[in-house]
Amino acid sequence: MEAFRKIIEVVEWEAFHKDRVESGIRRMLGRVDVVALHFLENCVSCALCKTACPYYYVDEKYSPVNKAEEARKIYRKELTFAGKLLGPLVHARKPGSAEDLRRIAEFAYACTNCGACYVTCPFGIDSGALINHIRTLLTATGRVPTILQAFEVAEISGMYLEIPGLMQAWDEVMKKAAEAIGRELPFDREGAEIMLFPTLIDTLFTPGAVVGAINLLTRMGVDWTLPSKPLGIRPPIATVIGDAEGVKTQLTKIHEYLEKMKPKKVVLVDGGFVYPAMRWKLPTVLGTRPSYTVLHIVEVVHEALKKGGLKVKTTDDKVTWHSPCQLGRRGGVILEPEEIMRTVSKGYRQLPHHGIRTLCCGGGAGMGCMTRDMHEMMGKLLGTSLYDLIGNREKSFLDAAEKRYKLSIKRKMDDIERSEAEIVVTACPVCIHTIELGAQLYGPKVKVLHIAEYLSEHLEE
Amino acid sequence: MVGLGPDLYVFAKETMFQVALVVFVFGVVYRVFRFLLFWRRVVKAQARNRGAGQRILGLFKTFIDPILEAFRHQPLEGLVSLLALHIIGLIPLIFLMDQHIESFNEILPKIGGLSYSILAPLSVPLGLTEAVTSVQQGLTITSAWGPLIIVLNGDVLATLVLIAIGYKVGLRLVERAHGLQHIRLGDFLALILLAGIILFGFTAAHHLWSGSGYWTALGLHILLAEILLMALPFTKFWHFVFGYWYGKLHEWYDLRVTRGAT
Ligand code: SF4
Ligand code: SF4
Repeated sequence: MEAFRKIIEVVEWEAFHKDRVESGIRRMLGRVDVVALHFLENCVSCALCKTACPYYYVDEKYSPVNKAEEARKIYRKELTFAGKLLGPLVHARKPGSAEDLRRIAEFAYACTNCGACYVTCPFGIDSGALINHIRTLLTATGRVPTILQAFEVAEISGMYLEIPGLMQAWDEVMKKAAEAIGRELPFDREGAEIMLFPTLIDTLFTPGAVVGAINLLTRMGVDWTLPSKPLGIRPPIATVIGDAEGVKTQLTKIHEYLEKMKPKKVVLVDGGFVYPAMRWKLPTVLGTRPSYTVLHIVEVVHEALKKGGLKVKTTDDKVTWHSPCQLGRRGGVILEPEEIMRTVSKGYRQLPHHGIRTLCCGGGAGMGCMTRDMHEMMGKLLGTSLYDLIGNREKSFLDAAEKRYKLSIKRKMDDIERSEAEIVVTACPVCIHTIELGAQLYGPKVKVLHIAEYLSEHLEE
Repeated sequence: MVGLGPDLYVFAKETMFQVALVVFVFGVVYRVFRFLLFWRRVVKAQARNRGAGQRILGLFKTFIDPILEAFRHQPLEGLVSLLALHIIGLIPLIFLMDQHIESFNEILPKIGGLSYSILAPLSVPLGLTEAVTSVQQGLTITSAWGPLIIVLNGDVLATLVLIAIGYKVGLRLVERAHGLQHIRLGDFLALILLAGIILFGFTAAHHLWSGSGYWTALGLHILLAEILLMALPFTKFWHFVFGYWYGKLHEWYDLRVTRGAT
């Protein structure tokens, strides 16, 4: 408890500290490059992006453009002549009160960074990226959800490795996987072809996926290994709260380990933000291209099926594929899972919104962590009552965020209902958790599985 | 007042045109330079290679998808903003109207031996009456649009654009009343400027103000168009020169080329 109190000392939901706001603005504007400048300057306020956003259906004020306006107001005030001269007349304004920060936090935590607005905007403006910039500012001011701050500090400091509740979950999954393949797991082997990279969250949320991935690699007969300890809780978790330095620190640690182990391929189980972070952002953040290629397990399986290195039994399951926004739209892995699913099941059907137009489930970028249940579950694992550490102002923020999150799931569930699928297969632990919650709240009562687990169950004997 | 019309017209056409051109060029240089100031050399991840076919298809989809999405999810907005205001509104009105083709032909330098009048076969007539008469007399062969000029003429297009502007202003007012913070004063000013240009153009084209009033209307039409030209690099109108093209090409390169989204 004491350790956590220290971790979250920086969290501040009540007061307004001008110096922290100024430092947040510097950090936020420090992230503006030529692309972000386009996102900031070239919006024409047409609001064509609004219907793409899961949170727009909760309230029109959560349209991408309306939320991103918070970033634009600050940008105009600090970096444009018109903003400096005319101020509020041209919507140029810096946050000047605790109420301003409250409103900004409400907007910033009504976004999953799904990128649907990016491909819907006629000008290719990624409002989700700007909303992440606002989170940078908020985190610097201390307006950061305690649960996310705790995860970030625990991950970067390596403290998670000493939390019995967490490590027990990891050990149990590894034991199960060893039993499933009937031999010891090949931990920390240098120079293997493939390094499987399960995160701690994979073992907590989707243990079947980790066991499934290990089973698949074994059945492929490839030379593989995996780290004996998780390389992060869900690295780089700092990305969720817009902490660019935290992202760099965590990616550096992971990269150093991977370079030491020298695998040819690093294979992820998590199809959430871990994928674009490792595959697309890591070279830019670290300023170097890694010697290994980052892939998702679905890409490896796709290749193996094509080359005959893996054989599956076909079924008639009424199954669909939910493309996680980070693996599909932002990650580029769209063709592979669809081809696999078509091969496995004759009853496969696409969702009405699929591929790059997949509908976000509403749970990404920390939104799924905003619930009371999640606080209690994580508190138990961390060995502390997280909810008791939180002040009243943050509690009321969380209550509202939880309501928004639960409402945002409805649109995805309607899409699933229209497909008449009975099983939803996907690849992101948060999507799985969110669609399961959606099935309870709104139906249809679908079974939700990670693709590695699903495929592992459909391998030829 | 008698002299104001011709004087205003000459001022707009000569002096102010030079000023507007200088401001426009300065603005473009400033915006591009500013843009480059934010450019940083970074190491990029190795692109996924899905082949030239997917890349070309991706380019097409990048431009077309938002338009289809707009019609699918916000049909009225698609009809008004994209179709009436842009695709069959302002674009032909500004670039293809008979008189504009003539004027641009005079003003713009030839590029590679080609003058602006190359677009003459696509020209649209100024007035509805003129269009109807020419269709009745079977004279539409001068325009590639054929009998379509009944719709594609200055009068109909200007009316469409004015209706679209009226709708946009109304919608923005409602959105503002709902407390949506992204609606700004500049959005209204931009629409009012466009409406002003069209109204004075219409007044001049139909000689609604007689005598020197004709020159006043034409002078104001040109003057407001020059204000638009000067505003282009500094306002949301920049999307037409740069923002749209850069934005879509960047998105294509990022998602479809590098990351391989299909
Ligand atoms: S982000 Fe794009 S779609 Fe959304 S309002 Fe701005 S220009 Fe329009
Ligand atoms: S990234 Fe997704 S959730 Fe965020 S504003 Fe855009 S559409 Fe909405």
